[in-house]
Amino acid sequence: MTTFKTNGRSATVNVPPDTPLLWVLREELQLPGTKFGCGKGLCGACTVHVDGQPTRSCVMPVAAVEGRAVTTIEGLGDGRGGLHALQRAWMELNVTQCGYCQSGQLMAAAALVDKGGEPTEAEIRAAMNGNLCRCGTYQRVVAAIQQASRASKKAAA
Amino acid sequence: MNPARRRFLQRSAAGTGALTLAIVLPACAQSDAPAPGSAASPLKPNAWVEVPVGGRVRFICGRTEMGQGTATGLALLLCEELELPLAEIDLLMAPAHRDYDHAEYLLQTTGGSSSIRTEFELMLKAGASVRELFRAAAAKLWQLPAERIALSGGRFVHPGTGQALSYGDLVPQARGLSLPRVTPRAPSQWRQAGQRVPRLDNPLKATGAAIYGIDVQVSDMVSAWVLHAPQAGARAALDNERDVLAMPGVLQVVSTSRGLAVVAHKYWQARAAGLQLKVRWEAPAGEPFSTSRHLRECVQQTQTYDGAGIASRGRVELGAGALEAVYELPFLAHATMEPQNCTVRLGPEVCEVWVPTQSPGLVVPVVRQLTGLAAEHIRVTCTYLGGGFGRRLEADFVIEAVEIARAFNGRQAVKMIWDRETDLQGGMYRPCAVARIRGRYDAAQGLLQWEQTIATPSIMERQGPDFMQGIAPHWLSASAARGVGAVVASFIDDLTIKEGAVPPYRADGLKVTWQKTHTPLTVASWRSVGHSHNAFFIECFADELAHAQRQDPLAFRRQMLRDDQARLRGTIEAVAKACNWAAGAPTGRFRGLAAHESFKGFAAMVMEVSVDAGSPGGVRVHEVWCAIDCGLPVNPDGIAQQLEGSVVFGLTAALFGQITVEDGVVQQSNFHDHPLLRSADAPRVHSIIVPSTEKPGGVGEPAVPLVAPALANAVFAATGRRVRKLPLVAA
Repeated sequence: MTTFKTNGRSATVNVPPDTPLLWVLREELQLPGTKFGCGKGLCGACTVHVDGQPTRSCVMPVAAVEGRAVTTIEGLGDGRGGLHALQRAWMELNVTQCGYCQSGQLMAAAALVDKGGEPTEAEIRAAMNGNLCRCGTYQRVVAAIQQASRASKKAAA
Repeated sequence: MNPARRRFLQRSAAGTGALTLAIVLPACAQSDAPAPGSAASPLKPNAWVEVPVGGRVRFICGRTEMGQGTATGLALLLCEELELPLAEIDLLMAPAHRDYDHAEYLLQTTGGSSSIRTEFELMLKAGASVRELFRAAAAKLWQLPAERIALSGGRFVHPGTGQALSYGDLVPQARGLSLPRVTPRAPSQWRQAGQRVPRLDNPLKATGAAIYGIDVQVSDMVSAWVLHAPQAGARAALDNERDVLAMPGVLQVVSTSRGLAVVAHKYWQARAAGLQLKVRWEAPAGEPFSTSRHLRECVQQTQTYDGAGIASRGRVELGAGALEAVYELPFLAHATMEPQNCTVRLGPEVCEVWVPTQSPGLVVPVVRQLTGLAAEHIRVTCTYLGGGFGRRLEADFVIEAVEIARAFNGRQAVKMIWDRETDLQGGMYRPCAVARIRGRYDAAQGLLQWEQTIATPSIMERQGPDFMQGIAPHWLSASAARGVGAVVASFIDDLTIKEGAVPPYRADGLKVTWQKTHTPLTVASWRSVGHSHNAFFIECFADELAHAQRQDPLAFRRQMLRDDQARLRGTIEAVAKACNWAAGAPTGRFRGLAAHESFKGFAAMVMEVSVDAGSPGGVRVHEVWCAIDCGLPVNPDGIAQQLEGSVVFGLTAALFGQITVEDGVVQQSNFHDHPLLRSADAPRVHSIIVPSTEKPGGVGEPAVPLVAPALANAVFAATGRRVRKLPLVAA
């Protein structure tokens, strides 16, 4: 049995301890927004937050999140029931194409934006380099992160 | 009556009955429970529009949404004539149904950058006639002449009282009225189409709520992990079946035509058990395939320059001063981010399939062939696709899922998901190709001689019979359909070889030939198909000819483009202007140029690089300018997205892309040895849409073929080294 928080709620699952968190989220907790891309931590499609840190859930054994807080795309927001500034920027700038990698992109981006500050393009690209996109949305991802960073800073001020 | 018009009327007349098999996914709009035709059921005036009582208008999209944005583009056209704000329409994916057959390909499929081009008028007419149907409904309700009723913000407005009713409000009055024929307005009158709009799929995809095939969740579902034979035809001997069956959740180990499947209650159980399989593969007879040997043989065989004629003009006279170059392109995988998957419930009377597919029209006959069920008992639900690029035109993964589901006899639905390794190695690949070109160019006289031979396999030879199953009436037996397909394919086996194989330049002597090769790998359409070879060969060689004459590559195009290439010329001028070609690249930067027409889209590209030992292949790609003339732009930001995406997709191929086979086994397995371009190495893309009032053309593919030659030409400008073999970064 492993107990941890997902998107603010406590969850207990009865699976072998080495089961990848990704499949626990998708199949045991019915949170399919987190995607399977490679199973080896190479593509970032499965990125979630564990205690706020972007984490590859496909190579994270569920036992390793015992007692910790996991946030998935389904739990991404502004903390008041609304969308995260990134999600609004994502829609305003038409970032998505097929969309399959975008949950992972958004979670990786949120970890960056939530640190505050206004990262440069080079910093954003470095931070996002682990998230593959076959459709090639990279430049809009950068633009959306810049826009959301500005919006978040304004909101905080 | 022309066939397109007849089809339109048939599908318009289909009314509410046509889609009773529609199965709508939970995350898309909900289909209403009431029986079709009842007063509470939605009104479905044609195949593409459905309006629930009091609800929002639904667009049933007959083309696949795989990221290319076609659902938004088509909806935009429909909404333009419905005079409905785009944000007020709901998007549904059409199930497999012949109402949605492609107007040119004659089966329900999405490819060839053709959706907007072939459904442009259809969507406008469908929207206009539904609008007038509902205006007539309002006229009936208010006892007014229809022409007195205006539409504002998607509401029909009473001229006296100002009462405003939506489409949904007017469903009861609209029921039973006949659909009028209405001429759509001229594009110059458009209010929404042609403008920048938000994509319809943004809200679902920005929140993780979009349902892809891998997310399908149906009642009584089990999951399958599969293992394919490392070489097609190899037979499996399983040493530990009993141990695997004893693992938690495991239900069965099923033999399939491609290998084995482990089925368990949950996918994680199937996968955990599958990774424990101890299998001995009995290699098939014969010498195992090797891509390196195959490519060497192709290079050899092109020396003769003979082969089947593709194009010929005048007599090629080379004489002294001729240049010769050999270009080599590898097999390529599609590597969609969503691995192939398919969910099947196969009962004695009905087969249900949930699948991310580009070709719903192929799924039905393939399942019919395997199960013997009649087409009307095969129900195909189409999901969003996590990428397509041509891979999901095929139905091989559907066949495998049906083979597994058969073992469960309708009790359970089986969701099969491929691992990334299975996906990369179980591919249908962009064929490898070798071209040998010799030519002579005299810049002063403007005289050009060009002889080219291409060694590559035929895609149509297999796709013809396969796809004919989807084209033929579904009552026709698979073998008969395949037989017809084989005959047709024998006449057009060069279809994908020919496309874009003739240089757009004024050559006094021209000869292009094809040497058909054969490989044991299955070859398939890969975003831009034959153009992905041909543009590389032609645009690289044109660059070589120009440089040999110390001529600027842009000047070569200006001088040598044929008179019938006005639109291609226009895009070249547009891209040259945008990057200020005349001023030259900044210090330390170097530029390459390429231009090509494909899928009725004319595109030109300038790539700007610098030498950088730390970047893949030793060059850093900084900026890319890409101009397209795709006719009348319907969804401009969607076009820009496709140009940006094409650059990244094309750079992945040019820099890293290859599938190699040694001893019969694919060498690549996951993203560590099959890298994709990452954010830090991706250039800035500047998109230029050349204004045009021509009929809409293609967008999703035309920029892809330009990337490799623009890069190769830029590398030459930077280093003096010719890139004639891809990928640039040897694995």
